[in-house]
Amino acid sequence: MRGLIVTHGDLGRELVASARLVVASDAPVDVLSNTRLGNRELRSLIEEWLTREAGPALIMVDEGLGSCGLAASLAARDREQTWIVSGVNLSMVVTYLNRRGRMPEEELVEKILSRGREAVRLVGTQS
Amino acid sequence: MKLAMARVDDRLIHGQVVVACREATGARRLILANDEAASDAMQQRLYRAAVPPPAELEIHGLDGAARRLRELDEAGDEVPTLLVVESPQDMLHLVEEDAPISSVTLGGLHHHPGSRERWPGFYLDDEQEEAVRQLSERGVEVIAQTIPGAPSTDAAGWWASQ
Repeated sequence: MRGLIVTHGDLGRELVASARLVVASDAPVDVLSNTRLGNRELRSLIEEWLTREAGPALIMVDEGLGSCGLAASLAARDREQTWIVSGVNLSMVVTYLNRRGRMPEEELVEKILSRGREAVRLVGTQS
Repeated sequence: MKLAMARVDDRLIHGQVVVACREATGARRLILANDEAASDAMQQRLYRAAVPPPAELEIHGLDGAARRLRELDEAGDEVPTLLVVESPQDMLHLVEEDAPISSVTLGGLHHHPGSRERWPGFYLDDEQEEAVRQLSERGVEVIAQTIPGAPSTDAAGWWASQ
């Protein structure tokens, strides 16, 4: 399953660079930033990426109902075997790089979501 | 009517609008004036989901939005309202249709074919510049400002000085 990360600023690029420090994976994952792009341009770039190759595709965005998530949803609207997940964090990217091609697509998406949720927690308090 | 902000943003409804602009203006009603969104059920569903209650989002085509704004104005409506359109041309269309708009914020105009960076972070093509000029000639105040509190440029004044 091909992977694309769409975020504000350089978040996606930095997440991938950081994830590759955690797992020694050279699995390809593409990145798009919404910097300087309006809705139409971002949606068009995502559509281009989706049509570049057939087959299952995963798009990870930072804000599901922000510009990245909305553009991804509209770009993928008529496409099958395409998953869009929001709230992308380091655990999710690591899981994608580590597990890609080793389990069915639906299972991989569920794994990515569960690892992403597990990463968000209160780890300490000073009060 | 209480039009808290009339914003041009080519990302339409997104974080800057929903969080920064809505909170700064106290808007409880958002009006998205966009022909494409008004005729696309999926876009409507997504944009509505992006606006948290108690704020309400209305989506109209341009002509319908002009009519709605006139009706609200004539009724003396006092609900703080945030208007969002995609382009300066769309805003000019509303003004030409007598929508009660005296001030416009260019909030998000990103890079696109034929555009050039007129002010830092603001990319306008010839048609958009012409629409800003016409808004200015009609006496509409036009500023370029990404979010409330950020540095702003007097766009209409810039045109007047050219």
